[in-house]
Amino acid sequence: MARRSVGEAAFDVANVIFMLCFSATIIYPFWDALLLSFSGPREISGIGFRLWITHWSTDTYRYIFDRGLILIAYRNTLFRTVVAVYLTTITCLFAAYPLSKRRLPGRTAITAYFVFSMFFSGGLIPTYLLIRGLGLLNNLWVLVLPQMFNVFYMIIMRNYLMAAHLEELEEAALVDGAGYPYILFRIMVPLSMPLLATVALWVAVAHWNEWFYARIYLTGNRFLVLQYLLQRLIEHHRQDEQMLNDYVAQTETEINTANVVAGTMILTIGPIVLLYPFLQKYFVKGVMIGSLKG
Amino acid sequence: MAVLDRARPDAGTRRFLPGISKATRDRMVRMRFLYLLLAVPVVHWAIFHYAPMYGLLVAFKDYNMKHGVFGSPWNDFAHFQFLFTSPGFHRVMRNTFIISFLKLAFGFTASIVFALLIDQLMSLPFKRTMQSISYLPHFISWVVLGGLIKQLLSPSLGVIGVLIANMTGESLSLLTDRVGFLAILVASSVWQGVGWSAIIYLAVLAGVDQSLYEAAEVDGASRLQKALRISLPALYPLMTIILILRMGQILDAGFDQVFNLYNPLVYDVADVIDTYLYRVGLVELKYDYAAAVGLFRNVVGLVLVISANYLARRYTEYGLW
Repeated sequence: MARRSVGEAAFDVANVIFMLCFSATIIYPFWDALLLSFSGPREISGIGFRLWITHWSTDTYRYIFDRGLILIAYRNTLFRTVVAVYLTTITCLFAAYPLSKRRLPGRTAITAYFVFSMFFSGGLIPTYLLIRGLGLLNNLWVLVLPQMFNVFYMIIMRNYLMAAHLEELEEAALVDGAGYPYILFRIMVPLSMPLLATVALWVAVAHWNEWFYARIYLTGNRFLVLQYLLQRLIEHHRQDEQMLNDYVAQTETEINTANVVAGTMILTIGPIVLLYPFLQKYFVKGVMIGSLKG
Repeated sequence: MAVLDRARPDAGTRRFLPGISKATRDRMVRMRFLYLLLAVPVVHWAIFHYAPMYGLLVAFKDYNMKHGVFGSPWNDFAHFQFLFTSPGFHRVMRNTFIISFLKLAFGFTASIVFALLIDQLMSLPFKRTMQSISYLPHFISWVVLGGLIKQLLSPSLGVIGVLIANMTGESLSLLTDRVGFLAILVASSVWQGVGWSAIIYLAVLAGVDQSLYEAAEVDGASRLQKALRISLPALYPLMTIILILRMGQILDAGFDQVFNLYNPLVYDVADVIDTYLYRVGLVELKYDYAAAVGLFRNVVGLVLVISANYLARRYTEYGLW
């Protein structure tokens, strides 16, 4: 790089400062919530800007765990995430592998059958009526089954499996007398592990963060997932909700509602933030795979 | 396994698949395991994606639970007539377009500027760190992001809220003000998406032929000139594609974000088609009318996507299909 002029040096400094400020706007809200969740009731006051607190207290978390709802929400969230990771990845693979065969009769028609639905669907209400008709309301599996297949993931897997070296490998295996089950489970799956892992992580993060289906299809505390518990809690500021009285009602006296909300937020994003360095690497790789179209 | 899968002459298939050549039929028999696999997603999709399309019939009916979708009486497009004449629906359409356009205009510009700025950073570890931090909100649900934003704007305990309360003397969240709400919506959308949407631009910038920069340097070009004359033009094709394809999704104003930030005080400017659909359908339980709203939304959405793709194909090398 050539020597920098004064103007360019000034730009570099300004650029670095801008980047630092921008990352501060991202990190500060999370840090603020963390501090709030560890503050006692007396700590909340002043100008609202917190970089550190003097009196650390675990009362908020003790309060949250005493109520027990968070444990139910964790259990349900873990259940849906783990089950969905397996089912969705496998279902997508079951479509992607056959459709990666150029010589499969009917390939175009079946691909069109899946892809059409990316652009037109029944929509919210007809889907709701169907789910109700199937008797899936108030059944935890409703969080997993309707979303078990995803066209976008399937296309990405299919394009990956259509790579030249995999096709050659498959032809060689067929000549050697291997059947398709053997080729799929013994050759293709091990060789496409990095991609399967990426899809699995997409599914995991999507399910961890999903709240809408939990909201519309499930009622009652025993079906709560983390995101929906948090959402009800935040809404509680606005409207009285019977359901969460147990969670919040006494908080006005013991602990501030704001602390409970902050604590629940931290518990909700905890696993994502802890896994973040690892997650983001896979996700960024996924963007690159996704943008190479076939 | 190998023995089982060996092709075998199968007379049975001829009966089911007339008009298909013998070679193709043999291939289908040989590949029957693949059809078995496909059966799982195909059946799943028939149930959870195609079956609901039958439910769209309620959009043309006076639905009641007792008679079901099929038995309910037709109503001569009454829902659609109501939809096109009701001021509530016009408001919702207007809000959807305004919010979508604002988010697109600001978000699109911001992600390009952000990519160019990141590209100018000299230190690689610093660059990496800044990028990693910028993605973080992309991994967090809008329930949490909405909670964080409300916390920051709270007049009693958030830094922005307290500041505003001190300046104006009123202790109301910015989210209850119509202009304030829109500003927060657009700003938080940019804040959440800028890092993530810059990835693809940065990938293009990384692929720009370095000799272009070297030649420009020899000619005495400054950093600014190189950024504006080489880096930015390198992004034009991708910018065109992204802009066109985004236009196809203009009806999608971001349900998750709006839903987790809005409140009845700002419905006037905040209510978009998807939030309206949710409230009418699943809170007020007007299934039939909501289905009509949804059908209208999907048909217009389909037309927009198809036109956007047509334009993308016509003016660039790429398209969705």
